Amino acid sequence: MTNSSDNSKQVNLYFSHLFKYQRIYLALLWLIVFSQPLLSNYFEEKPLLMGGESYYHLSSLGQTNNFNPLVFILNILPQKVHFLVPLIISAGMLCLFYFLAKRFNISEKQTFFIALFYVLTPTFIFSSVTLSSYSLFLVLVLLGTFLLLENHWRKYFCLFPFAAAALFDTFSFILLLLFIAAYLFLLKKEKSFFSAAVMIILLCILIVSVNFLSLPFFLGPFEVQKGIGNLVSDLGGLSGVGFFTLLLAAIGLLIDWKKKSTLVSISLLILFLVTYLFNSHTLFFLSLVIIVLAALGFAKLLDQPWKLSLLQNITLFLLLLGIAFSSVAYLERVSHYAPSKIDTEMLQWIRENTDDEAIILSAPENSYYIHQFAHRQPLFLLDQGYKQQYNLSQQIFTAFYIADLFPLLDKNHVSIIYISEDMKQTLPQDQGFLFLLQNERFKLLHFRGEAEVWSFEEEKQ
Amino acid sequence: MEKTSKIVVGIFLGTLLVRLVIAFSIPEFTYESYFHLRQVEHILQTGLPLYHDQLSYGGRDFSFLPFFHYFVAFFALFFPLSLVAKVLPNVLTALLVPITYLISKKITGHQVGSLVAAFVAGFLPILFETNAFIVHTLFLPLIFLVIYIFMRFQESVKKDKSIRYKFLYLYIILFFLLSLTSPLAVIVLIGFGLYAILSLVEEKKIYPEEFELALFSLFLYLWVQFIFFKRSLLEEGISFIWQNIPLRIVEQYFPKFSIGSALVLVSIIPFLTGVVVVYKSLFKLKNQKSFLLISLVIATSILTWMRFIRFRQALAFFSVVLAILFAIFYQDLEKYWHKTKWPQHQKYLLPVIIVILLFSTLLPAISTALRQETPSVEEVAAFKWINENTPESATLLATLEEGHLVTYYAKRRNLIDDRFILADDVEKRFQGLTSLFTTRFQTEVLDVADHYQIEYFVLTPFAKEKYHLKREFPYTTRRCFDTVYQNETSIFKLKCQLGST
Repeated sequence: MTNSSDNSKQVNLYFSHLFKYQRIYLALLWLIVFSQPLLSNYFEEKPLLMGGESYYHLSSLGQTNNFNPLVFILNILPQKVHFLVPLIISAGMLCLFYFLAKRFNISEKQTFFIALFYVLTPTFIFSSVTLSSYSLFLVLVLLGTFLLLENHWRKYFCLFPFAAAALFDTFSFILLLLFIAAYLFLLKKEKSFFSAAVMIILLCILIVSVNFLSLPFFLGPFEVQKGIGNLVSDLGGLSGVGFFTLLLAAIGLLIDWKKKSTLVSISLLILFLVTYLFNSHTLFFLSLVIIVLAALGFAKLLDQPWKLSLLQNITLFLLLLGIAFSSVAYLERVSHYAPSKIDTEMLQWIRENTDDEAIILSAPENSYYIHQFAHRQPLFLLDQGYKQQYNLSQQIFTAFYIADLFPLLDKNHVSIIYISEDMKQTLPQDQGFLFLLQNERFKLLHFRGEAEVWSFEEEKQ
Repeated sequence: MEKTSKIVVGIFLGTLLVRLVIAFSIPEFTYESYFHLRQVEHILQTGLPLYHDQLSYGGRDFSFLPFFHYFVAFFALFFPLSLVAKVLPNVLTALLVPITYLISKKITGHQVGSLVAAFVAGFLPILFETNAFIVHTLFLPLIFLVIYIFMRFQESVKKDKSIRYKFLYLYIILFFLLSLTSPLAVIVLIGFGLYAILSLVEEKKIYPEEFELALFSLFLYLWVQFIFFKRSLLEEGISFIWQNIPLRIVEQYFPKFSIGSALVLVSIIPFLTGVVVVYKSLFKLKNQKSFLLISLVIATSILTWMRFIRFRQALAFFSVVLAILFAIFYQDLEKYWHKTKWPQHQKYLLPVIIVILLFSTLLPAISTALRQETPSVEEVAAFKWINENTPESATLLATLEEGHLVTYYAKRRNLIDDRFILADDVEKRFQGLTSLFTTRFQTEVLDVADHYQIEYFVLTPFAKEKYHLKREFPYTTRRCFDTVYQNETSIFKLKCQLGST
């Protein structure tokens, strides 16, 4: 017994030290984890930015009808420093979170674990190399909330970040409105002119945005949706959260299941889970709720006096190891994601050697890279009618006979086909689309490694 | 040694003796065993399991838990592997006898009932695969030992806190080893969850220590599985659970629950009495002592129903639980007999039960053991011939089951075997295998053989029976195939290529 309580004291000593110097440790960890994908991309001579969304925004630069604040920032900044934007957003998010945690009297322990899980969660690691609207949205909301807590006239400044946050998509703006309303009327129970003014102004902005700025309800999706597969990074998802984080979140919910706040957490979870299933791009919000719950769960496990303190120490250690392993495993593979060096070279070849009006067929995930690097019109744009676009891609890539394939290509005026290395590995070789490329209407124009560019000739009358 | 212990040791030795006699009377091992033998041999040579195999599927990676192989390799340092592989699995399975006795005794406190339960556990037909050198032979005694230690820990928490650390440390070590032995250790975790729910519903107290131990076990298990199956999880996603088994044979691995096969494999008496005990414990007596075991039964049933566990593995676990529950049945039967008009005839109860059990368990058990699917000596000789008479780079066609014989005895590349996790294009290979054994068209054969660079075709009596082939392949013409080995097993060398026939 004495031994175990000694152990427990020793562990508490470690954690006390960690909490005391948490800002230094977290800053270091953040720097290591978030710079790793960038450095890896740099050394592999890949484009520094990844993910469809990044290239969706980059290809929108210069468009006058795009009011997305992220595009606005990118327009101002020189192209060479665009890769720093995700890092600045992430750093800003962490700093603002720390300011707000202090203002809301969130315990050091909980603050530390929320920040720690943020740094170690694949969704947010991926956002370090992605131009993510929702990351900027969160920074603006945090900034707005920070200003909202100011005294006197200064709090009116909160309207600027809140108004900017209204320009991403309708869904996030509705979330913002609900958040502000809950804070002002339920938490602070304010009935002041200020509260009413903020709500009315934001509602007006919402009406204007929806009616005149033609904001989408949801941004994205920019990747093919894989249901639960994208939610859990350990199951091979592009981002998402790890198994251990998910379990901790469940424990966080279970431990506090009698508290009123659990109802709010469950409601948020259900809301974001439903929206995630509808549009996987909202994974950002779902991950955010999950890491907060996981952090609270972990803090609870740490705080709660266990009868078997030895088990408590091992369990907490295993949990941290599990989360860390999950992050390391993700860091190992994140640099393998598209666009690769070959992708950019092949797409630049298309830009220089094909007709300006050519419509390019490739995997739906490559569409935004085609737009950016080849300056050509891709056949699919997942964010514009996902279901139709996805179904069409399925029909094309799973067609067994030219009688099924050719009408689809002709109807959609496809003239160039880009087969990336990823497509070569995932599509079957001896049947389906790749097999049908043997037909004489297809001509191999260029190849590098396993990537190929083909032309599809029009039907001879 | 007290009398009861002597009887337990007697049942253990009796079980072991019967098992060993059968094991040594059958010269070879079951087909799956050769994979594990190869792993142990590799550990003995290099100190590490064979995680990258050049022969299986023509070259692939494996992901599996290695404790069983290290455990056997340790004994193989002192004795020949062929001996260890025959004796150790049987010793381990026979160890279920004392473990069943201990658990039954803990639950019922009834000596005779517990002894009968131990006897039932010793002769369960489904566990009588005496020539199976497989992970399950270590997993089963280990999981029941973990359960027993957990029960002792529970008891120490409730009664004597001074000894709880002894059981705690023992539990941690055993559960860690169990997690390193088989992913099926998840049964314990789901069992803990259901036990907590049952106890809550019945308003029975759960001690914080029990909850803490369950939580610890959950994270330890996940951590171990995460380390060993990280790549499978990433590559196969959620379908990793179904082990990448080809769709056409999923039914074979995860068949629907059949009462008929359950009755045969578990044996009728333990099965029926087990069902009665579960019903009574859950709905009438609400006996918390048996809740843990019942939770384990429910956990296994759910996992089997959801096709997360192979039917035979589930039934093996299920059958030992039913054997333990038989002690409760015997105790109840004895109490009931007291209330009848003939309490003076109670002395006949035990002999009658033993005679019934002898007929209903021992005979089916021996019959199961004699019907084990093992390669014949002649088949093994054919594979050994290949090792000595074919080029090292050759790829062989053999049935799915014989895949490990190709890699173990012939030391050549196989087209496919039953280790599907992390294997590439399993569906296609399985389709290729089926067509090579069933088609009548030489062009089809040449196409598949060319694709997988298969040079030698092995046709064993087992393959003939499986694919209903009367003599040999219908397409092995002299122009394209040389018969290089002819006995009960035939081996053909392919001479042609598509386009050059």
